[in-house]
Amino acid sequence: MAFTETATDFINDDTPGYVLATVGGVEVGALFDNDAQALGIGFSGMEARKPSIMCASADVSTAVHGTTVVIDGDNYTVGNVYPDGQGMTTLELKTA
Amino acid sequence: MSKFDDIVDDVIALLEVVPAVASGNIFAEKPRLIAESIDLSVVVRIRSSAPERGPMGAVTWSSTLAIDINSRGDRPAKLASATVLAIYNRIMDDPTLAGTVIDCEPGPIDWDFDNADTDLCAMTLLWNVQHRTTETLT
Repeated sequence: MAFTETATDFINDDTPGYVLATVGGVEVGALFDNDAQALGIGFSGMEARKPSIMCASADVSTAVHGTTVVIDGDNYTVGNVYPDGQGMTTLELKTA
Repeated sequence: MSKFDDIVDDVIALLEVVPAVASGNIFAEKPRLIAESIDLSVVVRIRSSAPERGPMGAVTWSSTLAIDINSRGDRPAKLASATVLAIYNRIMDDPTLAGTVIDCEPGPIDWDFDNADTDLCAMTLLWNVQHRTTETLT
């Protein structure tokens, strides 16, 4: 019997990081990650955040670089799009 | 305190002259991350140094001084441009650092970029700095 994953099994309000994000004007369920990171740029390196959301690919199939995203009233634009080929897509975000 | 420390301190003092470059976010040899709250900063450090023995017991040291400029925002290299110009002009106004060294000669500039919630740039300005000591260091 074939095993079929359903993205909504993983992206719902029982999942840590779950948010309702507005991507290109459409509200979608997403897992939001906004941890501080150490980036090894230059001699000292820089503290920075790399906000991203993981969504069902079907929900964000029209997202491209520059698509607007709103999460909890904060405005972002899509910086990078990473579909995993398994039905999930991670959108890396830039602060707008 | 060694002459190398003097060089770093003198350059920092030069950059801190009002109006301080990078809004005063100037650090010596900072091997720790630049805080997220700082959009523009400068780090001054000696990268390497090579001695050459001369006559009369003199040793001439040729050192590479690195001045790192970290910036974040849209067009982060452009955001750092005014700081680069200020650093260059302040050192070239008196490349002896008020007599601490023989000369500061400008060298290559390197640009590095990364992305996060905003775009990041790290520029490194290299200077060839020469100073002279006796054979016995104090």
